[in-house]
Amino acid sequence: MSKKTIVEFSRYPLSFGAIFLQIFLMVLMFMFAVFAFSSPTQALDSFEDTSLSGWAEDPFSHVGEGEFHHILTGPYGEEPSMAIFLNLTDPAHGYGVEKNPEGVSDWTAFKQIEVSLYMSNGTTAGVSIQLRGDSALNETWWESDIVGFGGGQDTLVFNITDFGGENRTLESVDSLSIRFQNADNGTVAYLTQVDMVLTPQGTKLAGVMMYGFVIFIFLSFILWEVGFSIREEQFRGTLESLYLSPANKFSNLISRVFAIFMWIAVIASIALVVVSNIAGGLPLNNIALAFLILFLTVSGILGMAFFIAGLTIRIKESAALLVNFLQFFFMIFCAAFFPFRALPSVVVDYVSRWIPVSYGVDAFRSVLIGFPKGYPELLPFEIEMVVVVLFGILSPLLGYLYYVHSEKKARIQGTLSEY
Amino acid sequence: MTAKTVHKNLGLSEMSWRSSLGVTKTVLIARFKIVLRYKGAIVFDMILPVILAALPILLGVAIAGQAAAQNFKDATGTENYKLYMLIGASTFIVVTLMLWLVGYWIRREMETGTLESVYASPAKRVEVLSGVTLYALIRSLMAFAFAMVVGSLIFQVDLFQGELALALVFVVIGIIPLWGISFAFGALILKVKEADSLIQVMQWVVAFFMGIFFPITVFPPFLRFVALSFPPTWMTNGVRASLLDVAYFFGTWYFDLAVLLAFAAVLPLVGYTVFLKTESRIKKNEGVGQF
Repeated sequence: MSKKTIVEFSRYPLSFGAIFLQIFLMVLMFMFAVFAFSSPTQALDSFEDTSLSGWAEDPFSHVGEGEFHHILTGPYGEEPSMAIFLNLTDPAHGYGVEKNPEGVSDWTAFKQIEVSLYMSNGTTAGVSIQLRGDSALNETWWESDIVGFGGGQDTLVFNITDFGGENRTLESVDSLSIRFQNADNGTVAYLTQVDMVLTPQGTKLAGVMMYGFVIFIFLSFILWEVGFSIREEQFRGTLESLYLSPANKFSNLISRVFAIFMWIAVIASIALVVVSNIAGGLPLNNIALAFLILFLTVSGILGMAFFIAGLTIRIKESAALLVNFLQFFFMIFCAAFFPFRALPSVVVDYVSRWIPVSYGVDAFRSVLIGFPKGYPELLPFEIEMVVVVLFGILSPLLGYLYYVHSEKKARIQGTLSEY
Repeated sequence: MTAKTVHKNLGLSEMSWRSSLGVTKTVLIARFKIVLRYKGAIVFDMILPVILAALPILLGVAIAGQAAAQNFKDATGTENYKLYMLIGASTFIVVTLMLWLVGYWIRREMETGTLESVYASPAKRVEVLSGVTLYALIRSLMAFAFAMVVGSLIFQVDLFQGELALALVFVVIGIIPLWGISFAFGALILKVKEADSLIQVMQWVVAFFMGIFFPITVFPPFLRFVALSFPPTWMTNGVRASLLDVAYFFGTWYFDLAVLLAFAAVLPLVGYTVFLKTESRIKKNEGVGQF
C-alpha cells in the first residue's frame, strides 16, 4: 500500500514541488510579517511601564531617597523581563542600572546600548557605560571609554562587543550602569532613555516559531492526506472494493501517510536550514530528546488522523471542511507560530491546555531552544512529557478503534459506498 | 431553457439573450444548491480571514509586545496593524475563492466525467463560466463582508474610518480583473489537470505577492515588479490606503484606481481568450474527457 501511494504520488511530480513551494512561501510570509513588527531598536519607554517620561522630566526628585525602581516588561512579553534599579544616591556619580537576573530570558539579542541624554545648557559631562559580570564577583567591571557630552539632547551608542571582545554579549553581564561624570558636579544631568538594540532576528524567537511550525506541517499534512484520500476513494467508488480485499485495515491507513510523511520530513529540514541561515542560526539543543518528542507527537497526530478517517466515512464531504478547520484551529490554539503567552490567558487556560498537541509543541520547542526562562510555558517539562507520551500511545489506539467502529457501522448500514 | 428556433434546415436553435441569461442563472442556482448542502463550508469561508489575520497579529505582539504598533507604523505607515491584517486577509479570501471555486468546478466536472456533457450541450462556454464565476464572486464577497465585520468586532477596530466609499470602489473594480485571472486559471487546470496542487500553491503565491501580512515595499525590486503586475496587490493596497495611513503606490488614489481600471479592461478579455484557446487545443488533441 505504501508503494502504491508513493507511485501514485510520483505520477504527479508537480505535487512534490507544490508542497515544497507552499511551505516555503508560508515561512517567507510569516518572516516578512515578523520583519514588519520588528524594530532594530527596542526602546524601553515603549514597554509596558510608561513612567519613564515622568522619570525624564523630574529625575532628581528622587535624589536622596536611595533607590528608584523602574520595572519594565518585554521584549517578549515576559513579566518582568527586566527590572531597572536606579540608585540615585548621588547624581554626581550617576545612575546604576541593573538588570534583574531573575527575569531576563534572552540577553544574547542585545548588542548595543543607546543612551539618550538631555542636559541643561552650559553643562557638560563624561558618560560611560559600565558592565558587571557574575553577580558573585561584583568587582569585575568592564567600563567603556568616557564620551564627552555637552549640553542639549543627544544619543550615545555603546557596542557590547567593545566590552571585552567580539564574543561579548549581555548574557555574561549581570548589571549595567550608566555613569555620569558631570563636570558641574551634581548639576542637572537627565537620563531620558536607555535603548537596548535588538539584533534583527532574535534567534530564540525564530526557534519558537520554526519548531512550532515543524509540528504544524506534520499535523496539517497528515490530517489532510488521510481525510482527503479516504474521501477520494469514497468519491471514486473504490473504497468498497478496498474493503473486499484481504488487506489489513491498519496498514491501509498508515500507508496513506507514508509518502507525504517522508516528503514533509525533507521539506521541514530544508526550511529549518534556510531559516537558520536567515536568522543567524537557530538554537539547537537536546536533539535526541527533541526527536523522541517529535516521534510521540506525530504518533498522536496519526491517531487523530485515524479518527478523522472514521469520521470521513460518516460525514463524507464535510470531512474536508473539518480538516481545513482543524488545521487553522491547531495553528492558533496550539500556538504553532508564536509563544503561548501571545494568546489571551483565558484562551490558553480554557482551550490550549486541553489540547494534547499543545504540550507536544511546547515541549518540542522548549527542548530545542534549551529551556530558557519561561519555557515550557504550559506545565513543568516532566509533566508535559507524561502528556506527550500518553498522547503518542493512546491516540493511535483510540483513533483506530473509532475508525474500525465507523467502518463496521457503515457496513452494517450499507452506506460504505455512499458518497 | 428556452431557445429561439432558426430555420437552417438543421433544426438547430440559436440562443437568445434571455436563454443565455437563463444558462448563467441555472448554473448559478445549481452551484448554490450544492454548496448550501454544506453550510459549514460557507461559514468556514467567512471565518478563515479572521483566523488568518489573527496569526500575524499574535506573532507581532509576541515579538514586539507593547511596541508592536509603533514598530509596525515605522514599517508600514500605520499603527493600526490589526485592521491592516484584516484587510489583507479579507481581500485574500476574495482572490483565493475566485480561483479555488472556478478551478475546482472544472476539475470536479473532469473527474466525474460531466465536463464533456457540458461541452456537448448547446450552452455557450461563456454563459456557463459566467454562472460559475458569478457564484464564486457572490460567495467571496459574502465572505469578505462577513470577515470584515466580524473581524472588526473581534479585533476591536473601527471599520468606519478613512474613505470607506473609496475602499469599496477599490474592491468592486479590483474584482473585475479577477474574473479574467480565474478564466486563465481554469485554462491552466484544463491543461495541467492537477488542480489540488495548483490551487494549494496558487493560494500561497497569491497571498505572498498581495502582501496580505506586510507591505510589498519590503520586496527586492524584481519581486516588487511581479507583485505590482498582479491586480489584487493594487486592490489590497487601495483598500488599505483608503482606510489607513498607508501610501498609495502612485501617491494618489486616482492614479492607483486608474491602474486597476486598466487591469479591469484588459484582463477579462485576455483570460477568456486564453481559456478558449487552451480548450480548443485540448479538444483537438486528447479531448476534455480525460483527467
